[in-house]
Amino acid sequence: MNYEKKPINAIKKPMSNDYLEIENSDGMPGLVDSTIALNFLLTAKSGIRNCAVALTEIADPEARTEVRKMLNVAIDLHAEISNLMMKKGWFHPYQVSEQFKLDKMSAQAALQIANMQLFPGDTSRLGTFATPNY
Amino acid sequence: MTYQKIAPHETFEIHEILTFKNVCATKASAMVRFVKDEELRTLLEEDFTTGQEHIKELQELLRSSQLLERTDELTH
Repeated sequence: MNYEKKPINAIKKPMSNDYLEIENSDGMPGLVDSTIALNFLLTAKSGIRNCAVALTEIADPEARTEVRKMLNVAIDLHAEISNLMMKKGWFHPYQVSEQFKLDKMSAQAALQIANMQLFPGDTSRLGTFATPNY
Repeated sequence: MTYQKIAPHETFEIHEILTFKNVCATKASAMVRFVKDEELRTLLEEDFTTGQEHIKELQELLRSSQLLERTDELTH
């Protein structure tokens, strides 16, 4: 897929409030995937922290090995996610300027989405058609 | 090692991990539908299955909690 190559977190124009407008979905697959990947990465990170903190409170050997196993799995998962994101260009730990650009674009996208009227008032079609059951 | 009960403070920690894992599994199953990227999808699905195994193990651990005895004493 070619959307992997270009920067994806960008929404170029202000979004129109017409939800069926096809322009709004420009770059969407990449945007959705990178956002979900980032969310996944952050969740894996807090999972590692939770397990580590819990481990310091647990004395029971059986529970200890269990949580320890989970901690190791979580660390491996975190490594896999960050490798994947680096490969796709969604995450640039070594090029700060690149990462900063991406973050700024994501912030702009979030702001644009926040400015959309996501819950329009009355969308009821009642009365415009013959609705004998109402 | 002989069979031992899980202490109250351990129960709380394990319960906290359990709630976290529950949220993770729910979120993973919900997110998978929106993901187009194959590799990301397989990662999410893998995490979902391992998460479910972990949830079962944690539930098993919680079953040997001292707190369960305590509530039995209180109710009887």
